[in-house]
Amino acid sequence: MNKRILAAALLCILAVIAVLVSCSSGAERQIRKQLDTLEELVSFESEEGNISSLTKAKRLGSLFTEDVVINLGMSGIKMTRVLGREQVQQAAMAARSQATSLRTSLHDITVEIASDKQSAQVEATGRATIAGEPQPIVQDFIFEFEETEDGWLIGKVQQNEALR
Amino acid sequence: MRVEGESMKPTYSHGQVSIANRLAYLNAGPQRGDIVAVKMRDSGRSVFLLKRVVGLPGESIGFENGRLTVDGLSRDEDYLADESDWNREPVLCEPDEFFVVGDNRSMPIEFHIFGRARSTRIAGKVLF
Repeated sequence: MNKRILAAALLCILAVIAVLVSCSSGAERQIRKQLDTLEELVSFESEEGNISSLTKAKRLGSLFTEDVVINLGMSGIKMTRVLGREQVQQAAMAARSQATSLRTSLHDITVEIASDKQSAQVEATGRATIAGEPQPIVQDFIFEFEETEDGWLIGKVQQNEALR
Repeated sequence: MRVEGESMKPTYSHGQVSIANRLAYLNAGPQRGDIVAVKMRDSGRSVFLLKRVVGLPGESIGFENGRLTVDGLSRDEDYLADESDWNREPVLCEPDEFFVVGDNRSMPIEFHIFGRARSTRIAGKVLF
């Protein structure tokens, strides 16, 4: 009888661990998917049409929380602060008017889910190639994700200096 | 590694392929003049900065009218090709820090990534 109880208890513990692991890996998968989408929507080609630009900018905004805060001050670009989803969309459209094409990618992504599973911190190295610029911009970023009714959204972005 | 950008010109050009020796600094740290691969962050594995070591731990490094200064003294750098107008107040490298910078000082200073890197961030010595 004791053996049966022990076996049942072990099974329960294993089941709880399995659920916890699957929940956290599911969250990480969703966050990584959001980052893939972010790469795709920030990038644009010279032949992109107006409707496509607007659609992409709107979709881009949906990756962020309503009150997102983005602080950017990478080399060669003066400190810029973007506040709110609407400004993200405006910035996406402004970028399209200032450059003919932009290709972005994120590398070495690490995702750390908070113990309450409601937020996550992501570190990634971003690379942006702007048409006509002599060299790509490379910058480390810290993203803070929040779990919302609409899934995992970016609530804060800040740069992480590679060199002091 | 494939070089991207112009920050190490004329030593390395955009598109050039180079190799770094990850074991080079097992017994001794980087020396002044070494070209090194610097990890963007501690957990970084695929994106590196290609830079030259110009400052060693304990040294104060700055730029004055385009010339490198080490502990306040101007230093010749025979690997540079173009004139530079860089000016930057000296910063002190801590005991475990090296000052790294690209060879292309003709580009505007604000477009150039340079500064102090801890030894753990230096992934290896670039061989060619």
